[in-house]
Amino acid sequence: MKGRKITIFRLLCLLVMAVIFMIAFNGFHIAFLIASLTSALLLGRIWCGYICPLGFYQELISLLRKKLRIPKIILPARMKIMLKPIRYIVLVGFIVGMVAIGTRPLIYIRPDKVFFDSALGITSIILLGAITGVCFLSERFFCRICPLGTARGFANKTSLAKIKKKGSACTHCRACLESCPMEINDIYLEREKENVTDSNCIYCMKCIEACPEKDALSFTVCSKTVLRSKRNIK
Amino acid sequence: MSIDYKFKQIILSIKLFVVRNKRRTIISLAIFTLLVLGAVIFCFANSDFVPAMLKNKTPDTTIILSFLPFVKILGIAVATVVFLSFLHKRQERNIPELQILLPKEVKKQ
Repeated sequence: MKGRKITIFRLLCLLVMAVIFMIAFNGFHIAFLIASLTSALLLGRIWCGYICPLGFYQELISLLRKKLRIPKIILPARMKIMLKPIRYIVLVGFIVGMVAIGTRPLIYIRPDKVFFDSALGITSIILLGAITGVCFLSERFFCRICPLGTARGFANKTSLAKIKKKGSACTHCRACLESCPMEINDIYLEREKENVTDSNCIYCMKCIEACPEKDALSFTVCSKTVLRSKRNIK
Repeated sequence: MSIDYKFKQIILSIKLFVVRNKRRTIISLAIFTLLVLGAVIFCFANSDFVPAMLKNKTPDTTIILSFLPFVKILGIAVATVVFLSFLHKRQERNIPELQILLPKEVKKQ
């Protein structure tokens, strides 16, 4: 239980935020979009890990899979390479849709409302069902192609929040790689650079929780260490 | 074994679990309470049908209909999971390194 404190805190944050969104928002607000994107300038994709209701929905699906003891599917390297241009295409489509057609994606604020919408078209039902199915087998799959997440990801490298690695303390045990819901390889592969923050990182801290080496991984905000890996003796 | 004895055994095992894992029990109880509270708030925040339902203004069929899209989404999601699992299993079988682990078929004589 000790090692999972951050995960429990994160899930509670997501639950509280989902409830707040349900009470406060009844439709899509541009203010929400602006707030979520400006937060990225300061703290990168932290919104995805601690606030996003759609992220919470995916976390719940993953929890259900874990409870049912169904193994997750790790995406093949070829597919990961394919996903990179796809998410930029989705982002362009999202911006064009917002500006030209005037689409307001309510799913980012109230996924519950979208799922129970009786006016939902067959295309939307198939799309939502397919995404739910893929998210069940692959943790946080939608976050990898999410247009808002991609936009926030640009700010991840320059944001104040950073994941740092002490190369000399790392024993390359793959614990960080296996625990990462976004399947980021860089934290495991990097041996020289200190800053290992990836544009896909949602700051879930699962890598820091899983790391068995003291001070090998740390999370810093404004160069101040907030969390660091501890020696796990089991 | 009598029912009374079984009942006592269950109560004692729960007590033992609570004594042994005090912190774990407190945390899990807190999470459970929060989840229940969240579910209650979720139901009341969904102002589309719950207050109307309470006021008896909405016919029963409307409530059932509002769940239909979600049921459809779930159906498609289950189909996707089954399809992807099948694909993944087939892909695993094609990896030559893993084929060694599969038991060999016994030839019928």
